Amino acid sequence: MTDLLSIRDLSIDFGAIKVVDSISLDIRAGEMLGIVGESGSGKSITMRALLQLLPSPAAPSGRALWRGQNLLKMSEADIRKVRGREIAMIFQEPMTALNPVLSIGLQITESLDAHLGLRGAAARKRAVELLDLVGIPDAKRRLRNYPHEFSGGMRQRAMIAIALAAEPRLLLADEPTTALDVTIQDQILKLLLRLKDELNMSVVLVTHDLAVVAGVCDRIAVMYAGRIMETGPVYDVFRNPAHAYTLGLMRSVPARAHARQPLPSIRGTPPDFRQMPPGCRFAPRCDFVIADCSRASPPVRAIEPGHETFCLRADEVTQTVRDVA
Amino acid sequence: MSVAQDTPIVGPVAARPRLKLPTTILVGGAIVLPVILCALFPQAIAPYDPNIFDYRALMNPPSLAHPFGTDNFGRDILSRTIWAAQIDLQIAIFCTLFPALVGTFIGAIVGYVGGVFDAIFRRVVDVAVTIPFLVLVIAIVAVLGPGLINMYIAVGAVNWITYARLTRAEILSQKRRDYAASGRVMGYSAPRILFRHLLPNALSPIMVYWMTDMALAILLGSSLGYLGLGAQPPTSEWGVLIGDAKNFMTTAWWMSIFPGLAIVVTGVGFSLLGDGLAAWVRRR
Repeated sequence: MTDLLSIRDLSIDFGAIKVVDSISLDIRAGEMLGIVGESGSGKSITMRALLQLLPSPAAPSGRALWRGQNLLKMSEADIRKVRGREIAMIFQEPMTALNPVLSIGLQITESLDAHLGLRGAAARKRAVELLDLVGIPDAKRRLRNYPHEFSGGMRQRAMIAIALAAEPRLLLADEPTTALDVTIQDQILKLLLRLKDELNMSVVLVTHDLAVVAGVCDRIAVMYAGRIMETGPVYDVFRNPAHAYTLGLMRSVPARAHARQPLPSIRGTPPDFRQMPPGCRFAPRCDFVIADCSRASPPVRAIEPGHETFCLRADEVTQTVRDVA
Repeated sequence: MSVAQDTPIVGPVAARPRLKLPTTILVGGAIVLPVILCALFPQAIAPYDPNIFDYRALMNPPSLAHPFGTDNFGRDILSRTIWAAQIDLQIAIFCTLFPALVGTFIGAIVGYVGGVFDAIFRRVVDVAVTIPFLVLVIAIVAVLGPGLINMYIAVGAVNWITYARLTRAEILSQKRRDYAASGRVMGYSAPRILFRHLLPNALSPIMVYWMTDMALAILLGSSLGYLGLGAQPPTSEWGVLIGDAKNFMTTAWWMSIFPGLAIVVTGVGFSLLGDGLAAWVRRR
């Protein structure tokens, strides 16, 4: 598979604070990549940086190569042609991301008009198809509805329909299911998975829910405190976690096998961005920590093909997993 | 990974609840509608020609033949009051329509773009609000000369600022909403986001204010007419009628009372419409 988007050494500074610290990540054609991390780990801000949607004091540096061009350095006019047309984005809040006074149909045809120049009857026909595609029944009549007449799940479907109107190559989904209840969450994820295959696009799914990633993603990237900790194929990473943080995350998911036992959690709290620990940022909370961890940032290390970790203690971590199993 | 066809999640669409119109809208409409009819078809409604002198009936008090009485030239006050509705509604519309359009446009741009435009706009507003509205309008009319057209120009030159302030504030709050951000994410151009997405959300307070402003415009138009700076006699205009009547206030009360009542009733009607509209918009 070829790389659709290559992020190299992307850092984001908010004044003196570095919220994302030189991360590198590839997004391949046709894959679904899950980015996992706790709140404040820099997942969403990374997505926003790709489309130059950062709030004003934030300054990104590094490269994000998209079709041979650096997204971070594009002019406003050029990046606008990428937004929505080539890279689309959906958000956590389908309740507020739709315009309350415009009908759903109008908001879809708006996207068709802006990106494809499609208007009138042709645009309406395509809008019906799009609503069909995202699984909204009775699409023709639904076009006349307003957002407040849609449920949360349907609004997220409508958002997806709007985002997909221009047939983007990449969809950035920023916690698209967090605001929805579990059954709807499942439907939306399956919808994304189906659309990814049908439309042959790539999807980046930002979430803090490991189960979601395990269920639908091809590859996973684990972020912590503005850095990538571990990346790899979902199967490999879950079977064979090679970073102490990943292991901690996986252990803190409730499992039926450990019913009625205290839920393990990662001790401590995420570090303060103003006083980042030297070396590995997870070191102060890590059960596997050794003195070297706090000396310098751990170098990248390949565990299996495509499975990389930034943990000095990867061997010990994988050994622990095997011992438990 | 097996992917089941995702199932639709919707039940039947709930019937859109019929929103009952607020009583204020109905009452306001009931008041304004006859005024509009008078303005549209005065020749059919008015019993007499408003400008015909009848020297056999000078300053007659209200009677069956002349329900509102006659003036010092024997003109029928009822007919003049009815014909005046035409001029006064024209004033209500022309004094507000252009300021509303221009002010909304400028306010939208200033609110969306911000920066230097906004700074300049705020200075203009600061200057404009320090000068009393009526005094400023009178000053402009004094320079341009009296008459309806000049009055429209004078009011327009001042009145757009209110609409611009209103729109600016509304756009400022709308552009922070998520849907505005998602418009940017979708790669929409700034004019598209502003005029197609933000402005429709900002319109309702402007519409509400517009209704109220029509009432204010009628008051202003009559005031200027009374002062001799608006419509000119012998044109029938409520303010002009009261102006004509001021010398006979003690001897022929009907000459000023009935046009005055017309102003009050129409003003109340538009205000009720505005209030009702505001309540209705809030409920939606």
